[in-house]
Amino acid sequence: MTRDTIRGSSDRSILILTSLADWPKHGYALIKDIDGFAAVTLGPGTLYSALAKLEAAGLVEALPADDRRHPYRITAAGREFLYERLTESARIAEVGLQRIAVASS
Amino acid sequence: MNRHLICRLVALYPPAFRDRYGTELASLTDELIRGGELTPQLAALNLLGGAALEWGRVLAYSRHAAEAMAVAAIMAVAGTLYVTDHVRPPSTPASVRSASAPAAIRAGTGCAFQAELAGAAATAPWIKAEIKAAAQPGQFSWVLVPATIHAAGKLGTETRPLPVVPPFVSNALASPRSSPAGQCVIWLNPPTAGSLVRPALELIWPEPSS
Repeated sequence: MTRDTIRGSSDRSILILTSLADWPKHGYALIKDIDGFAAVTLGPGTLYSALAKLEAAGLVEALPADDRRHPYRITAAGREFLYERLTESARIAEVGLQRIAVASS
Repeated sequence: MNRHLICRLVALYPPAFRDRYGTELASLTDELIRGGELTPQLAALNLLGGAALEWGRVLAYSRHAAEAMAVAAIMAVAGTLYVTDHVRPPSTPASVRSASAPAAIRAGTGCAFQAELAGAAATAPWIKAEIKAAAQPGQFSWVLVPATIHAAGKLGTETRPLPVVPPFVSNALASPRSSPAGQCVIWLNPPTAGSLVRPALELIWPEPSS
């Protein structure tokens, strides 16, 4: 397993929810934003498959179309889901960093 | 890749997905290619992989074994094709030894179910669950909800109300209060592999008013 493979295992849903955490975005803006903060380039098929799942789960919702494109907005349930996942990730990161520090000292 | 070819690739998606997202998907793909941010070859692969995955999801709702085999084949193809970004396709972790027991959704009460999984619940008590619910045989819906397992030793029991009743599920169940004989199956995705545990869970349905 390469570093790229590990990096590529990032959860698409979390990336999308994180991108939508500040304000609504349409597909192109989502791809550019995620590429900017996570260096992960989602393909269009990947993006809309993930959006479909998130929308079906009630974690995001589509806003009225703007020039044939629907902006997507995170829902209250989506924020709660994202908060729990990020909190969990932060806890794991903290443990990992502490252990690396101990092993290095 | 011209717009016509993009539309033909988008046409490979399941009808429901195509009707809802097809126009946006084609428009975005076209925009990315025109902007030089995506090559036509990668775009085609990505759309093909996405179509295969979506068909896999559609077929996954079926309970028939033959269709389940088709799903497995499609997912394998999708796994191969879905390489145009750096993210793996979703899959059920190999560590899950799902023995989800169907349970009746009692009118106005809820559904209780058990799941068997390979996971270290004692050390990783927070587990996300995918819940597959159906009001009638053949009607299945998937929804992601956060679930918590409170582990006492290796056996845990937890009652967790749904934070929100997603409209997707509400629609699928028609009316939970009037669905006397549904099924609810839970698949647990343990974050770590470990010893076999058998937690007992209860999903309150609908969400009790606090």
